[in-house]
Amino acid sequence: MTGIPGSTTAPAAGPTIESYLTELASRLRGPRRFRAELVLEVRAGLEEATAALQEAKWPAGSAERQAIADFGSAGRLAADFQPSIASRAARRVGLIGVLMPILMVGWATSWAASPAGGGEYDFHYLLSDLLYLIGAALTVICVIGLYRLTDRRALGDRVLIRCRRLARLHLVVVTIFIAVAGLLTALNFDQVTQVMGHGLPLVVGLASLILMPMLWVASIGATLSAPGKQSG
Amino acid sequence: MDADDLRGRLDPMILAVLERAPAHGYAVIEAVRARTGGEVALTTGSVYPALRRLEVAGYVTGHWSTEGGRRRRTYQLTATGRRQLVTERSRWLVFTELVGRVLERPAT
Repeated sequence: MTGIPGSTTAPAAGPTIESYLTELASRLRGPRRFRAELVLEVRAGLEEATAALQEAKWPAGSAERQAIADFGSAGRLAADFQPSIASRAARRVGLIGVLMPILMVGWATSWAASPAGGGEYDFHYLLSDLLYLIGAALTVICVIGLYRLTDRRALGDRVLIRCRRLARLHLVVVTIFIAVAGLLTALNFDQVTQVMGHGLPLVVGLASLILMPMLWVASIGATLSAPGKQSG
Repeated sequence: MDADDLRGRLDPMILAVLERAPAHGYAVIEAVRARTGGEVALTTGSVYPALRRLEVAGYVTGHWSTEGGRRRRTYQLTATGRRQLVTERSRWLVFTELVGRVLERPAT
């Protein structure tokens, strides 16, 4: 936990602020906005530290190198930041997932009122199909989002890795269900298709209801068990 | 005082600094240095990720501001953070009391 008072000599050579920030940005994983915000904050911190050292009569080049050295390697810094990016992004993905049960209820209501479900209006039939497609798309977005925001090298948390496996299983099950439903529809197995039509939103909805809370728990767990937690 | 001495105490120290007034990352480091007479100098590389971690945990909130033409992210203690600080203080008192008992010089 050394800082300016203990550091009297700067490294003889090292990256510039720009190259350090470029390396940091390349090592962070997650949504662009979160990454850009962190890089901006580190830039502010580096400039602040450099200015403070210069006020303490350090030469400009040495001050910059020392400020960078105090931050540590870009790889280590990225690893320390990664859990908070993952956590924020997981919450965002989870919020998208909250829409799933709402869509499923909308789908079930519309389908029941549609001709296939015994109702009278074509509009409901179209609406149920639309909700069904949006639900399936959201599932895929959630799973892809989860994969993109985590990087096993940067975040080796076991809970999060288990969630990734669950998300992958969820995606495989939904894909198989859609494929089978499509095949049966093509073969005109109307009765079976209707059962599948009921079952698909149920599978997607229930799996999402389980997956999304797990994502939140994992994201918080990953943050709290981060390698840099409470270390100086 | 080295990193091992302060391990596990970084988060409470940051919360304690923010209890007095909102601050940006470098100001937190300066405040700790000033309060300890220069004996404890936190590194930027530990404080900035810690602030983000505390923000995710809901103990602090951060917002961007511009001071002297420089953009900074300033952090403020939340009500949850205040409660956490009270807990951490109690833990620290128990810890120092217990370790003090162990390290106490034997009566001669």
